[in-house]
Amino acid sequence: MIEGMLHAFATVSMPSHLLLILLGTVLGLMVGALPGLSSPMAIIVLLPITYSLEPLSAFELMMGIYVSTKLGGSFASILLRTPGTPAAACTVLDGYPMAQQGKASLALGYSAMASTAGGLISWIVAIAFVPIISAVALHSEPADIALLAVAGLTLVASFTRASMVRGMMGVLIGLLISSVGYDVQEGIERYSFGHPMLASGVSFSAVLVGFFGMAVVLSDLDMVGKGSTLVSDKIGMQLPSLGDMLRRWRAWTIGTVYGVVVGAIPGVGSDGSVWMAYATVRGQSKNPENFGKGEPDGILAPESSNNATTGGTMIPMLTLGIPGDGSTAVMLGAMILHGLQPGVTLMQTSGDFVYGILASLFYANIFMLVVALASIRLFIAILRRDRASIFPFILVFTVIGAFAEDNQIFPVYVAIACGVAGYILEARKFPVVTIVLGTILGPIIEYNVRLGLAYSAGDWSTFVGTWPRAIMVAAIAFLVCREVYLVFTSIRAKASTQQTKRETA
Amino acid sequence: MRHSFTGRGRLAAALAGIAMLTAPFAAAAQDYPDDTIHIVVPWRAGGGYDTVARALAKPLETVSGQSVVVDNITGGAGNAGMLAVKQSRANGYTMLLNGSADITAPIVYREVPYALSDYICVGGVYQTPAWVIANSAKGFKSWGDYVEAAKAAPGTMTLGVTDLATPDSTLAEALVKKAGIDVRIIPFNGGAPLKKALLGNQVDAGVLIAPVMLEEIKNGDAVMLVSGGSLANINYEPLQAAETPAAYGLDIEIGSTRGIFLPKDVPAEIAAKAEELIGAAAKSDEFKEFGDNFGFAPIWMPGEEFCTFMQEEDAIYRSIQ
Repeated sequence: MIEGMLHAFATVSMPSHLLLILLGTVLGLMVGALPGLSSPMAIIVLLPITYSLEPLSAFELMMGIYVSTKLGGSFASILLRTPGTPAAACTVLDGYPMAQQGKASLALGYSAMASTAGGLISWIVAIAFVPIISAVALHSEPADIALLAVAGLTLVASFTRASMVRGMMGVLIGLLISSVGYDVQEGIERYSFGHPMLASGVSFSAVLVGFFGMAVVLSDLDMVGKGSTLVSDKIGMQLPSLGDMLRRWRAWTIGTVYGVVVGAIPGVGSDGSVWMAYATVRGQSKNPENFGKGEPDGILAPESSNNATTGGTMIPMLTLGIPGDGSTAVMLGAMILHGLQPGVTLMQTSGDFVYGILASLFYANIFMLVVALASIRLFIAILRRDRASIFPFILVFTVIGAFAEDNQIFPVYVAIACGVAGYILEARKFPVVTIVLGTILGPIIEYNVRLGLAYSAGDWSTFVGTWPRAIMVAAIAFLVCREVYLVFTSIRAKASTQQTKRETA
Repeated sequence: MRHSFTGRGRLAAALAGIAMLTAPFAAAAQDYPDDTIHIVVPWRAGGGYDTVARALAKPLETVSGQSVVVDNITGGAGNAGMLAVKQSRANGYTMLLNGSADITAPIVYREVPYALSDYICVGGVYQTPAWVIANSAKGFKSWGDYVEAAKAAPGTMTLGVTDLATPDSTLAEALVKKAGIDVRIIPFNGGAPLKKALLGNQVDAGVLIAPVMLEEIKNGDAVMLVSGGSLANINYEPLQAAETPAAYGLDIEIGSTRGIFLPKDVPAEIAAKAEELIGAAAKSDEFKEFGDNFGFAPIWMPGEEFCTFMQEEDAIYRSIQ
């Protein structure tokens, strides 16, 4: 294991590899800083360009983007009061007030330090756990993988910020999309309406490109022709002193722990972990009344947390082939397109690749800090620019991305359809990422459930046959019951308030 | 980015069109080939079919004097590539490389937007049988051992296949039917997951297309129980005389014969010229060397023979269905 890691570091430390990570980091900070653009989108847009690269080189670029969008998102949160990425939404609470007080540079510094600390700690967790878990995962059976994926989707739905009902619907739409085409076990053609191109299902990259690329452009069309006004004109980056960081250890440690744990649970991702971290840090603070008024801890907690998810999500992605968030979902798709087989055997068949990804995760965190420090002014300048100059590029690349997988025009139509659908759903506050995760986990669940049943000769009790399985089933049941309870109590509460209103009227 | 038709190709085609008006077919056939040849593969780059196509493309460049490009037109479970060739201009510059069973099995088992009659068989170049593999820990030495174990415990044993409507699922059905045993045939959605299940000893036996898992057989982790066709061409001596379904009273040969096809409207003279070129490429030393590395010696099955072979295959699949 240590040998593998050292070998990977030797490979990734070559200049050409480092350059790709650096390029990814710069792109990531830029994409993160621009509200509306996000890391899954940047990765999916770049995917066709990476076809000609070795798989590891492609992923070096992606890891750079993935890690640094988390920090880039906070730039817009602090300077614009608009989060650059969903994961940076929480940073607005204290970042913007701090900037208003004329301490924008220091706020950016806190964010950069917290992000780097969170990222590096989570990296250590990832390199410690990936080899162990992949050794255990090798003994997993189809029933285990199926339950883990179902638990992941249930978590996705229940931690959706909007509402679990919408999250559930999103997941189910995703499952519906994934069930198009020949079913693997019986060979029955499903929902293809006799169209020959749908026989093998909806193209995976077309769905991603549509929901993460085109839908975003459509949603943000109102930003065309408008530049952004920042909170102040003279902004640099001022790092807090080490002593200050150490005094505030509690905030970024709590943030990191939440980030790693939430990241490692399939499906939830950093969008959720930041709020949990923020609430906990505020709850434990001696002066909670300072939060929301420019408290540095209120930046440290979410910013360490969103970067800490990057290490956490690596664990299920590399050991089980299950995505932790939207970006890792796209990366799993990218692995398949690059001819790799994600899943429990990835470590065995492509160990160099797995360690290479982990090594580039380390470099990405270091480069992120260095680049942010050196060229914060560049990112601020980009933030001021009109969005009209970026959208055409995104559209061109999304079309190429949909076309390139099969060398076919049909997936481009699918991508456009998904883009329009995603735009409409997003406008109605449907969390589109749940649809994408449903699409990706759907085939994994179906295949493993049916394989598990085939092994057990159709006996469903195989899904509670071992203790880990029984515990997972109980956890899924608990999550669903809890949500049903919450929905009903909220309906009752609404009904009773309406009644009191009527009575008083 | 690869394009099916280059600008130059379009110009050449237009000129050829004018030529055809004045002197029907003769000129075009005489000059064929004088432009880039495209080999459409309906499967992803990097897979077995793609490897065979790219290996054949090199000697084809030498014998034709033209550049040869492999286009992976994928999707729709093979439909996309099959349709692309069916609808292409029938001028001999767009060829299809696919496995015989990858055309006949879907025609028999599924609804597909093409028929055997939509294509001209140019010739078969590479033939590998489907074979039944078991983890050596199971202790089976032959298909007979597996059948005996299955008879002792009806309904409990498993037999994995890569997918439905494939040569391996057909071989599995035929063998199980003939032996009259009650086993569960499980599709694994691809060769890689089936291989994993075999190595993890999660499935009692599995059917794959040779030479997949040859390495595991060589080092003793896996055992070959029966082969869907003769293994005389395999470059691993201990298996060359392996049992075929004939040993179990089944007069069938099941495997995948990869060959070249043209859309049906290609003029006869051009098709004949193409057959000549493909035959020369298939018999070249370069292609033979590739075959030795890949696991099997290549073959050359001329067009007419290839067509008859596919009709027989179609009949076998219908009889098993």
